Amino acid sequence: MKKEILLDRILGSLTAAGIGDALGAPTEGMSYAEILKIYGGRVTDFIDGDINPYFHHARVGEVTDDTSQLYEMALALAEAGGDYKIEDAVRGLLNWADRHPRYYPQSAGPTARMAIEALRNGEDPLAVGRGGGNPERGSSNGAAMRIAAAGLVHPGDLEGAVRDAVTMTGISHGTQIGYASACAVACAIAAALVERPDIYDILHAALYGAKEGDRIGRERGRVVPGTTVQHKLEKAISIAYDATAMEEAEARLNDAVGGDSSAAASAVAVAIGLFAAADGDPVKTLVGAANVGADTDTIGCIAGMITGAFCGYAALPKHWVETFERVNTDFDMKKLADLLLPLSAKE
Amino acid sequence: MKTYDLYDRIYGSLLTAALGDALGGPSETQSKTEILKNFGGRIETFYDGLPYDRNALCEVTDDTSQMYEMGKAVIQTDGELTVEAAAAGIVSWADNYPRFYPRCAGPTTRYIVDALKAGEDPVELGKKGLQFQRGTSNGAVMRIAAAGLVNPGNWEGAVQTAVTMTKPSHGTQQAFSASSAVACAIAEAMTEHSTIHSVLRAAVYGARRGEEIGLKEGRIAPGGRVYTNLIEAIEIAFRSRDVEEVERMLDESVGANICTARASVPITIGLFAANHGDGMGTIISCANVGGDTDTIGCMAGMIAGAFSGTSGLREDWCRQLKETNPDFDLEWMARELTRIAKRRGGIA
Repeated sequence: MKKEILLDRILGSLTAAGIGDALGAPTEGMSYAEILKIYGGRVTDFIDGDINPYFHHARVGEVTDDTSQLYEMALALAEAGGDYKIEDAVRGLLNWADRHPRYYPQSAGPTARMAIEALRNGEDPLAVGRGGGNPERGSSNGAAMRIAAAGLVHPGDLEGAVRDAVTMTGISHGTQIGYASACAVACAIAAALVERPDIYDILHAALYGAKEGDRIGRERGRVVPGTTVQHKLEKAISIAYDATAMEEAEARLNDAVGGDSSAAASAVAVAIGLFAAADGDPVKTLVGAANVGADTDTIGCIAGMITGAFCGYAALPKHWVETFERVNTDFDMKKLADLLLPLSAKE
Repeated sequence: MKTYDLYDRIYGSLLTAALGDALGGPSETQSKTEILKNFGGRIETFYDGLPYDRNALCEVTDDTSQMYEMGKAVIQTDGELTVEAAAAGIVSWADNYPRFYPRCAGPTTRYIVDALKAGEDPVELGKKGLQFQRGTSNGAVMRIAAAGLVNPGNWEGAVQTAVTMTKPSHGTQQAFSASSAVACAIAEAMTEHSTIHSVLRAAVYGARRGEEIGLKEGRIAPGGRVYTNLIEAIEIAFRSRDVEEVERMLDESVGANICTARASVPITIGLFAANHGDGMGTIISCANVGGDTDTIGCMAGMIAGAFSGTSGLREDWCRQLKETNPDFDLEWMARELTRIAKRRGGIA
């Protein structure tokens, strides 16, 4: 693939992730019925979400912990220059906590908060990642929502995507569900970064990642209770082909695989199901994510990484890109894409 | 990358269909287990039909010959197929191929040729029923290629042509659904930017639309939905680890034991996806899946050929096919259908 095209796709992935995050933030934690009631209809653009405690005092079009963590994890991966290690992942996560008081600790999820304090104390990262003591610890969305770079530097290379996703995940979400969710998304991104991507291949790649991540997690991680990512993903894919329209797909994805928390197996399956049902269209995918209910900003962020890698930056709606870039000046996606490109082009 | 060539896709569709038919002929009606036993392993080359059927080595069957006559009907009507022209195509098939008719005629076609000759109304004939499998068998779909090929990228157009082609014999919701699914898959596969995903979406669209029309205009035949089996076949394509597992699971769930379109068409689509649209891989899978292997090979060949064109097909196989089956000038047919497809599709 030509470098300009690859750069456009990398930037597309990062930017669409941010847009999906910001679109979904006002509806986080709500059901579709509540979204309709509270906002008077479907959410189709950036709106004021001040009514939502998760998005209190945020600016219209502002991202959340998802994009900010994705950004710092990607930056640390880029700085590692193709030899990404556990220490780099730890540095990324602590940089996020240190540099973004707007999001940490208030927006940190159920796993990241515990992990960050332990990592700050110098505990062994892999032991921290395997730590339990809280029902959701290690199986929540934190690993998948920040995973973009692990896929972006391995275009078409699923094994490479799994390798870096595992490194990025083990420091906090060292469970079979944490690894599976992160690897599924990283592989989907990697499969989208080919000259003529086929959604069929992207879905297969996501399933491959889910199975590989699950296997790795059972070998070296803590085995937590819960439905496998693979199982939910297979259901989501079936719904995507079976549904006749986006609103039907959203409702059925929520009913069959959706969660009422920030459980990773649900969010990843819903995000990928929306992407497939929308035939990769970024607007349909991200509007779907904002309205599907539950962890909508994270679902939007994950779905955005994939749809953006699939269609590229130039294909994203201009008004969304303009607002996203104007409101979120802390996150220079163009600079980040430039840093990731040399690693990605090497593949 | 190879540049896009509509003729190559159309010729590829017809050619791969014929190869799939000839390859799958000898194993027709056998189970996967029987095939392994009778052929000493997977079928990966042509066999003469003896003792399993009466065809010569690399000879096609009723499938390709009916597909060819229906293609002629589409050409004669310049792409604006009518029910009458489709009915005439069926009669012409019966008259032109004493080698295949009545020996190979399926559970639907065998009842209608004489009735059509006697001047019965083709639409009413297609809805008659009162015989098991009448109107729900594979006949409508195995000849459907041209309905897709003259509608590049136009799913709804493919549905309309497919339904018209199906009415005179298989006037049921199941046959409309099955033939529209394959016609839509072909119409999508032959476009420049088709993907496996887009072909699956087109097949699902066709299955739904064909059924909708059949429930309104056709005879409502007994039996499960094509649509449900199609979704299950797609699930299997994602769930399985490799192609042979897809073959096995499709037989075990959708069932290759019956010559009905609601089983054969989902198996066809599943094997196309599992082989990623590769012509050779797809037809080899079809010959080994069991059941109506020649018809499944013919239908899957139509789609895979429209997706991949002629590249990748074994040259010696293509030569052998041509020599063994001189009745079928597929290059002429492809040229004619290309001309019509370009005009209907507004392609320069």
